[in-house]
Amino acid sequence: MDLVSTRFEKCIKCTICTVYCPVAKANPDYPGPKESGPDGERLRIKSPEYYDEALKLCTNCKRCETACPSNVNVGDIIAVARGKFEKKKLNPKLVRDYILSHTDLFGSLSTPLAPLVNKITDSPIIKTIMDKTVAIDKHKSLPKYAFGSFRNWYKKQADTQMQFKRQVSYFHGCYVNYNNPQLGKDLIKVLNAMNIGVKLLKKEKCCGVPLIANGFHDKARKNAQFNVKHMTDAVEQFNTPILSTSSTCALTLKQEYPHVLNVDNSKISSKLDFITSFLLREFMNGNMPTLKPVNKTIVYHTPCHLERSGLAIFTIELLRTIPGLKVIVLNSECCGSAGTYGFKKENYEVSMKIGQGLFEQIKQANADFAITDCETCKWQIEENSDLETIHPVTLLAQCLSD
Amino acid sequence: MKFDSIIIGGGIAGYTAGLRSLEAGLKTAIISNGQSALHFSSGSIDLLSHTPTGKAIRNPAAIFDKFTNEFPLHPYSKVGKQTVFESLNWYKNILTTAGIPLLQQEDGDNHLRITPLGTLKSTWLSQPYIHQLPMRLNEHTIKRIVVVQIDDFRDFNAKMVTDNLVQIPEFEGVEITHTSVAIDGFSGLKRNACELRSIDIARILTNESEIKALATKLKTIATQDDLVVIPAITGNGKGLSVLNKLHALTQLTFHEVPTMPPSMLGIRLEETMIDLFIKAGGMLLKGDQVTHGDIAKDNNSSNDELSLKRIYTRNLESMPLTADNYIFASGSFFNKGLIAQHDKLQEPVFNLDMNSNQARSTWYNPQFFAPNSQPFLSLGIKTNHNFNPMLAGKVITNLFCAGSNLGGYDPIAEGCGSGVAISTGYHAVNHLLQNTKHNQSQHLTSDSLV
Amino acid sequence: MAKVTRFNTEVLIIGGGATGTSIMRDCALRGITCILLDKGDIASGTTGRNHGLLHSGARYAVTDGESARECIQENKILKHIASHCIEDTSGLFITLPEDDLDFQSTFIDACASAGIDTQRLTAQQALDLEPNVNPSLIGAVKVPDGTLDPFRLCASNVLDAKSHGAQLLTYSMVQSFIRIGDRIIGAKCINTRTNEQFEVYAQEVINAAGIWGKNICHYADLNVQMLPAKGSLLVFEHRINDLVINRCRKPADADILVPGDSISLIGTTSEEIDYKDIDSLKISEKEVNILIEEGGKLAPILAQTRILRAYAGVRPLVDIGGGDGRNISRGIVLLDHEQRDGLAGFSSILGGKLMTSRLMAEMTTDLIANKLGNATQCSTHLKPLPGSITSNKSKTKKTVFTTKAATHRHGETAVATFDQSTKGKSIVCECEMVSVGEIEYAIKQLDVTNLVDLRRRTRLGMGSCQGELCTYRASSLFCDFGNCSGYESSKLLMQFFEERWKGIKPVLFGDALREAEFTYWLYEGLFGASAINQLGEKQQDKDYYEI
Repeated sequence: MDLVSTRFEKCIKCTICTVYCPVAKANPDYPGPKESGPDGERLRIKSPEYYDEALKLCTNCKRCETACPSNVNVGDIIAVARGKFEKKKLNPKLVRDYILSHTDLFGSLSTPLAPLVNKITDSPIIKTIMDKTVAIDKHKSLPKYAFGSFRNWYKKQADTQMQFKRQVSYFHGCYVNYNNPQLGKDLIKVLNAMNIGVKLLKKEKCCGVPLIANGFHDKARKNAQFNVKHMTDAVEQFNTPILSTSSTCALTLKQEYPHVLNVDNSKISSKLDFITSFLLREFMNGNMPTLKPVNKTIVYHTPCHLERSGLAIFTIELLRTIPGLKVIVLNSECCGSAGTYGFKKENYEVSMKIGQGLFEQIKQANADFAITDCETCKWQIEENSDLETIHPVTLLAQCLSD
Repeated sequence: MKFDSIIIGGGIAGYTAGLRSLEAGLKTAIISNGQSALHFSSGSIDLLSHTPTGKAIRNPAAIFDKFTNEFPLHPYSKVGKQTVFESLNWYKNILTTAGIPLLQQEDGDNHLRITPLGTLKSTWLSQPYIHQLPMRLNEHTIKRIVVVQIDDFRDFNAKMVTDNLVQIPEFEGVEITHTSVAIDGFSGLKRNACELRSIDIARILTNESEIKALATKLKTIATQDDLVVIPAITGNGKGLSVLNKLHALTQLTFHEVPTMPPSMLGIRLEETMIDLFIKAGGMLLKGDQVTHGDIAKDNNSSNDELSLKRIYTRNLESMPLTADNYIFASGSFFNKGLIAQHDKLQEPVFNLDMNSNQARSTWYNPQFFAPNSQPFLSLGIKTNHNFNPMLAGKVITNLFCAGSNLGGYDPIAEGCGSGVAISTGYHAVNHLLQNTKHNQSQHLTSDSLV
Repeated sequence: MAKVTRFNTEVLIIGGGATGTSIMRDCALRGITCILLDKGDIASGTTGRNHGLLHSGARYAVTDGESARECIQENKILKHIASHCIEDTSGLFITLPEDDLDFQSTFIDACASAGIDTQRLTAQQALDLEPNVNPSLIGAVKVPDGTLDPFRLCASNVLDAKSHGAQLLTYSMVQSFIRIGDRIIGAKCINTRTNEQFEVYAQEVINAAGIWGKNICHYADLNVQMLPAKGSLLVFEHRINDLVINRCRKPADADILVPGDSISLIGTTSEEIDYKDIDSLKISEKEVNILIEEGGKLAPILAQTRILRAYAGVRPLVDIGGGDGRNISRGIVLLDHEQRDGLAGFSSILGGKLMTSRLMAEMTTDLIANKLGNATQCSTHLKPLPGSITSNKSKTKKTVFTTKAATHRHGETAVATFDQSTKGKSIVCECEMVSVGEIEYAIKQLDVTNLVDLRRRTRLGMGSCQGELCTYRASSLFCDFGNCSGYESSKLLMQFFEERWKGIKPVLFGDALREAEFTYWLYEGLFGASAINQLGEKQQDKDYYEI
């Protein structure tokens, strides 16, 4: 028994977590975090036959942990139990889960053929076929792939970046690499404007979060070990901070590695930083690029994982430094996408129900666009509110005086 | 990061202070370590139901001066009558404006509410669907009470309520019955409907057709002359709208009774306060925890006083938060505002002085439901007359305690938990404004929030 | 004068602990009619207040070879007849750096001569088996220890006995014996719940009242010397060890850590107490501290584990020559008072321990059967108890957790009779997975009269929240299944919390205090529970605080 699994004893059975679980909110079949987490864990220690298959309904959003007044890592307990006990059945859904969760494998296969792949996955016929065969909901558009990866683009920039006296390392993640290299480019633009150069890790793999969510814990652990090794190399060699623009990658590298995957990241943990936290600190220390005023209104949506890591304060304060920008902070709610969860046919309805409150809030706000730090939140909000949704770093890049 | 005021703790005291601080135009943050005990509260606001000596109170305003003379160390005696009533009226107004009306007896008396055990408890402000029974119970006008059992719902038991209510002598002659009603949405669930909590039912009851079906059933079991006692099973994120609909459809007089956790009545208050706070531009750090702070000599003070310079949180790690003033509303044992070690009591963030250092055998009574309550409920932080705490006897001038981390009162036996939380939270902001002499402080109105 | 109910039976057994209920079963299986009386619930005395260890005998091997031999013999029998009460966990006797490693060989030799299998392990082997054992151990011996749930054992004895015609009267106290000359022919009794008086006439009366047996002898004007020794234990929130962990040295305080179902417990202290204090045991702060400190040496994780409660029992030691509580033999003392004191129709079975309860019953029933002229042989060592009878086809199939948990507790046959509807299977106690159907069964079939009895039969309220969530739900089921009014079920709720409070008070710090505060807020703050005690009182102006 490791330390993580024994921390459930602080649970006083107050039942507060069930109030804030977005899955329980939309799907009455899910027993909720209390029963799946601390109650269940206590019984699973007695005998593994008390493992409940309903645990796979958990989206790992961690809102139970944010709500818990006893500081129990309810989400971690559930994720660890799934890793230990979940049985994989070989069926089309497993194929689907495999495709959705192995983001870097399929990203590297797709980016060279992006226009073709995007066209295929966007075709109504293919959508219907995917719906019927591998249960990817036909209402969902699979993420578009970029034609050429971020890493490929970066190769040509590496020399320029070396010129800067100060350097940071950037864990770009699958989304920037395969789907939205522009965000990586924006980051470099912003940091360069602050006289900071950007290095990439020698190699990186998917942070592992979609693997954890889909029950491929062993593969996730291998990725984690791989990434920790390369991050450790970077820290030892250059002593740079390691930044991430994805709120989920950031939480995973820092917290899920030790808590859920039992991978020791203590050597680099203090070097890991989320981009808005890094930027705001720089701004506060006087290293702020000149920003053009933007006379726009934005709504800010706090992604679940940023809420859990407690760093939303940095994004909000960062947005508030942009001259002329009116920032409306939305009451934080899960958008329902929860990474790969919302793409699955069996979850589509629940996912929509979870996000309903948020979509309402956004529609009522009448903003010019939405800002969020998470890629899957972005897709979900854009699909369901017709409001363009961008990353805070992209907004900053747009505000830079040329 | 710099704020004008930082509030540590997101319960009723913390949100009161936070909202009041925003009203004063201060840049305000609340650090909330999980959701609060409102999740299992009555959703009514208790002001003062009993004296520490166990005497029941009918009209808190009427006896207030006598009370403060007799119990000078009680938080109310430090806050003072004017601020106590001002703060509660303020609270009542902002919640009412935000869609949760809080009502009271016209003469300022306490009133009685029915509990899930069929006993009566005294309180001061209640939500609209709590039927307020008079303190002089024989003056009630009830003809018949119908207690509604929701089929398969185990967290509220109508028979227990009924059988205990009938034993109340003042209800002699009142017909009290119970009857059960099914919720259509229970069938067809994969999960066992008997295991649903109040919040799960509230979710089902956001569906219009469910509300209509329930209304139709309720109309068949009760008439407009009856008091219909129902468990609090509505209001998930929608405040009172479902009950308003039920009422409009049935015209029945409802008396909502809280259930086993979670309590929808309490959740409504918390949700409303959070919403107000965020909309008014407050910075809410959810699920974060203050780990420690830097305390140093107060340079503005000629005495040997201290000042809190900055605080650190679990999530923000090495990034400190600073403010001119801090309000410490960290809650009691449940919320870990106070920690009971096996050999001593401790305030875990700053290691503040406690109001008792007696052995643990003095923390409890031999009986659980002892007539004189449990001593641990009165344990807490020792403060001066301004609610500034002390560190090894030295006052921290820019830190103010509020709510249940305070010692010297019993929130349950004295029926004053929410009243003390609101009035000390409110009072703390008054003091903090004196400290900062913020230029906007003269424009304090509750309009700025709504 | 009100008519006093009379019962007639062959044997009256006083005391519903492990011994008494075993005698009840033994008599019933031999066709001897019997009535068992207990002043409280079954297993509410010493039987339910120890660590529930299925001794291999190893603990006694060095100091008391006879006890060790009895233990291993009964260990094997119980594994056969009471498998649903037992977890065959194995046990470790660990040697820590401050202990003498040479003692290991003495220990292993003594075990061998008592017939107890041992296996010497290296420190690493022990750690592989039990990852939470103190990693600084220098050696360990594995023995066939296990755990034994005393509540289940007693309940099953009663269930089997009743199905063979025996009768149980709980909450029934003996007030005096009815004698004719030098013969006891029965007892005058009172039901402590209803205050009804009744008489039981019997050919033979057996005093199986454990430590209270001295009082029973007093009623017969006989004297036995008992040496009450209090032993205190702590219950932890969850299971931290899978094997029983003992210290490989002479028995001392707090040197056994037992995994019991979903929890672990550490015991025990030993302290001689006055006989007058046996019904008001207090656990001192010092005892709690010793248990935490010494327990941490067996499994260091214990220091960070939440303590749920503390409890204490009294060892029923009979003074057969002095010495302190621990060194005195726990041997079985069977007194035929006809032979010893010239009082016919009365015997006492004293001393012994949970492990040997069946054997004690066999010896006693042999004596009584002989007196009654019944020649049927004992069969309690051969016939499995109800609950231990499993069908061969029982495979792990997909069942709801409440059914799984109930099957562990009551066996398949009983669970098959539960209400199988959705409602019946629904969870009442979330910590221990107790369902509505199980509670109905317990109330109707297992002589449950209140929530405290229900806890002993089902584990309801024994988990993390100590009944905070389930008590309200469960109390209302006494209305549905136990003919209680809503008011009576409210009183049951209060009684349960008062009973739980006894065990929480000694450990009221840390998370136990947090849980207690939460429970108090809920039941007093929100539910106004204490007003139940004043229901029916009219408001009086004098109770009010006015100017």
